[in-house]
Amino acid sequence: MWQVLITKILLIAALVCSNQTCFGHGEESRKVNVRLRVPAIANVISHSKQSIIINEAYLSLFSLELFPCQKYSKQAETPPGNWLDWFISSAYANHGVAFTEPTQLSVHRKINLLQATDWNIGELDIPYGNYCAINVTFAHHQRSDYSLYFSGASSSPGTASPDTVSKVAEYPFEVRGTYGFGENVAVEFAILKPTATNNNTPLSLEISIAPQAIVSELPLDNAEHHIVRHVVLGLANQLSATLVPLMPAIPHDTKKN
Amino acid sequence: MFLPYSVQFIRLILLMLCIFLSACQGEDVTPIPHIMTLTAHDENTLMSRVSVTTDSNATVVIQFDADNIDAHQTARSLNDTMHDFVVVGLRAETEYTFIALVTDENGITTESEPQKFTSGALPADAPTLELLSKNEKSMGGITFFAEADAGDSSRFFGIDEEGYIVWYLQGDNIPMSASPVIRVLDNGYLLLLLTREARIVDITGEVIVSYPLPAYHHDAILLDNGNVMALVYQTESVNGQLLKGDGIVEVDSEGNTVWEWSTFDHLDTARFPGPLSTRESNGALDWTHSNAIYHLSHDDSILLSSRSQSWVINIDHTTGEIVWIMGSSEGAADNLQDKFFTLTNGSWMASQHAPTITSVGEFLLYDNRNEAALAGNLYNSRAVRFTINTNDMTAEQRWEAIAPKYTQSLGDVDELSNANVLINSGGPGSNNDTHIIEVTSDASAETVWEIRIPGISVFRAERIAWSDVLLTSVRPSGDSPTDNETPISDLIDIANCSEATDFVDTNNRDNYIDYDLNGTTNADIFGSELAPTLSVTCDPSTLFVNSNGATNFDWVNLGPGAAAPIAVDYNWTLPRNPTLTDEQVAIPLLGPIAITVTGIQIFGPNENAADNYANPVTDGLLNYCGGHTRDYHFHQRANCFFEWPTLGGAESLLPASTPNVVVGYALDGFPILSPWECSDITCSETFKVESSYRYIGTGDYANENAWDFHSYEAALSPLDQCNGMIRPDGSYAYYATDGWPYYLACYRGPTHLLSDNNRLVRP
Repeated sequence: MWQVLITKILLIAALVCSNQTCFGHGEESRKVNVRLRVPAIANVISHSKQSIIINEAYLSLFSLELFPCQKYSKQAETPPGNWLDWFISSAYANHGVAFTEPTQLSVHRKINLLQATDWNIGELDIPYGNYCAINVTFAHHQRSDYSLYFSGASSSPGTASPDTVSKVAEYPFEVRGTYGFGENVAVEFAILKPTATNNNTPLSLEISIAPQAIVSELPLDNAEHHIVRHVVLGLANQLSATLVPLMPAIPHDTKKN
Repeated sequence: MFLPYSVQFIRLILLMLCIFLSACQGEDVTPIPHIMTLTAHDENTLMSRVSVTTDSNATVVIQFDADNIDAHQTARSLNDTMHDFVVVGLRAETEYTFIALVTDENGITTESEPQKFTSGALPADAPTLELLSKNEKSMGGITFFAEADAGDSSRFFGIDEEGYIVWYLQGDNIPMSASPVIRVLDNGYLLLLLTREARIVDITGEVIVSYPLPAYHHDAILLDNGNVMALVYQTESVNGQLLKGDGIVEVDSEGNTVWEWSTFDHLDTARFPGPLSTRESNGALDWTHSNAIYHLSHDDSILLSSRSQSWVINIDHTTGEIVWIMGSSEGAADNLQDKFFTLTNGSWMASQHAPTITSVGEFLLYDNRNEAALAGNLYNSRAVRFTINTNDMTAEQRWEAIAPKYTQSLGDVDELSNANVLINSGGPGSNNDTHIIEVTSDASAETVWEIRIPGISVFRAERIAWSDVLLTSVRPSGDSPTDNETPISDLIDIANCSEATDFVDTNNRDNYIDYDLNGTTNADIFGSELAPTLSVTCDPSTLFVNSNGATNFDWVNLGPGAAAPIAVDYNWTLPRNPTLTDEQVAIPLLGPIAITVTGIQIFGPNENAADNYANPVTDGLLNYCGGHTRDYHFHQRANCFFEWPTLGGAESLLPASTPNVVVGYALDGFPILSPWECSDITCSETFKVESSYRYIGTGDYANENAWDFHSYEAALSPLDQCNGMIRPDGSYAYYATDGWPYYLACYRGPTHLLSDNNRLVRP
């Protein structure tokens, strides 16, 4: 019987170790509000090759994750696994998206690029330490069919010189990103323990995406998968994240433009 | 509100000061110390050797330019401390400025101090050239050619957009033939047709491989299987008259003849349509005078250009049978009459050269028209495109561009990567000069570039973009991993293992897909253990595939918790020569069901229990290549194999929209093909293979078991419940379809080795 008891104790210990307390989180952390800002893009774009009108444009934000500096600098190291890995390694488990770390945030928001976005998208309970990267993943989810989507019309099917904007409607287009794309963006901030000089002011992680420059150069004369790559690679360069003191919140429902 | 000028001025000064200070604060990046050394190439005055030594690992690109000459950049070196380049494409006696762009492992790029280098003189016998026209529609790049009928004094040259010679190849060990040919291969290498030799060289002239050839004439081509196919003369006596015909031989890399075909076995020895076919040489009539062959990889057939017959003949490479003939059927034997097309528009070619197929499936050739209407007229020769319909056996002339001169012999035409057409009127005719022109492919056939080479003949001309010219400019450095790179034959046993030819040599960095276009691989970013390794061997009954599970394409972090990919040793064992069994065996719900031709595992069309066995494509988080996770596995067709170029310069890793392309092997040994298939054994048409499963859910993908919400309906496609079918050649294969189950839904072959590859399957 004692073997069974020891086995149960070990299993309970393993279960306990799978949660954040075992890895030194819990009270050794600080809650951080996460805010997303995306300025609206123009719905009429003209450049040297053509003019386009965008009727619909969205990005599907799937998740965020912060990486501590020591982990980010040793990217190839295997992080602590789930206890279930002992029974079924990840190679055999197909896929399961699990948000088990306090530095991970499931978002699942559809960002309408034609409107300005300024959302509180959640709260992270971030362990003290230095952070060097944030992963932002775009992917379709239950609220959106595509990871990114654009539709509208252009003044020419390809490289012809732009005519008048009135001719824009002649060539409708649709760009659909069907796959997920994640990018690790460098950040640099520390989550510090409260001290006399650091009075535990509420913090906000401000994530900004500026898609206008990417959208302005949509290569509509290319194949769809080329356009999608152009956008997702470009977005990574237009993404920034900074940690700032949390400003008093404006009630969402009463906010006026 | 308007402020006083003084206030505005002070603000401006303060603003500039802020910008200056912030810029200075940003200068905390320390450039990697490096040394760049330039030396003249010891054998070629238009090349330069460049060595860059960096204090720590970095990648390097060399940029070079000169007054009134655009800057060009080499390919990027490997992440290392030693970086050697041979820069090609320099104009003679010109002072160039070289800069090394050094990128460290954090992605920070710094420029070296510029250095000057003056190129040497041209060889004394270099031809003179005259640029006649050029406009912005020209593709640009280097145009390669060699003088015909000049014997050993001939050599290969390359000229830039302005008509300056920027490349040549010389050496006592280059035996020039009467019709020297230079061809461009997909990976930036050049194929040289020399006397009794086909030689593949890189852009610096370094020999990659050499194929000994029989006494070939006019043309030889490199096949996808690595063999070389060449035209050879054959002479036979027919009814007392000697006829000179042609043979086609295919030889492997050791010179063994593995396939032969003869005009005497297939064509009409009584047909002499014009004076060219009755020309006499050494007592033999020049009955066929073939001058070009071209391999159509989509259906493994051959185009043979017979100048004397004014025919382009399509030959099935497998059976040797003639499939069809472009040209006039007049005077053809009865057994060939059903091979011809009815031309509904335009006119057939006469005494043509260089047939090829364009990117849109039309046939393009150089039509000398010696024996056509207005033969010999100044503007009689042309480039012409035809389209054919093998169902109703009709053909149509779709386009023509009149050549700048009449050429009674020689000639070449190529479709360029920007769809323009390069035409070489290189033979004698209305004058003895060579004119090489580039025209647009639209109806106007506008000339956008033209060069005249006085007094010489040129058989063929080729154009390469600068980026491809400089693709092989990076040289392996002393301690570079490429020095230890194992030749494909050592790891992938093509000689003893026919399946091995389907696999991609992922050990070769050239076969890496750089999705994010930054010139780096997973190994560069995550460590050398992420460099893919693959070996393929066979015994009579088993295919052995060993890989480290690392992908040959950029891994992207789809989070959460996936900081980096990992490598895992995999040893796959698959049955060879599988036969269909009487029962269908379910694939395992979890773990691998198949492998790709890159040695990466393929999972079934469902997630795990925690995700309700949902469809990974509609519910999951797959990247641009159809798979995910750190220990990468596919659920969906490996789209990136067909969509993106490789570091080696191939347009895609596997040919897109093409039948008979193996994407992977199921664990029962049957191949998994990309979803394009031939309609019949001759592949007269191809079609897209679709899944026979229909989605019957409500759109709540996350909560729908993929197996419960897809229904098999036989009427939807020819595919069976396992997602496979019998092919036109009688073999069985699964298909990597667009729709669920994406690869296969069950096994129809032997399953005795499943448990060796998936430990969740019981033996």
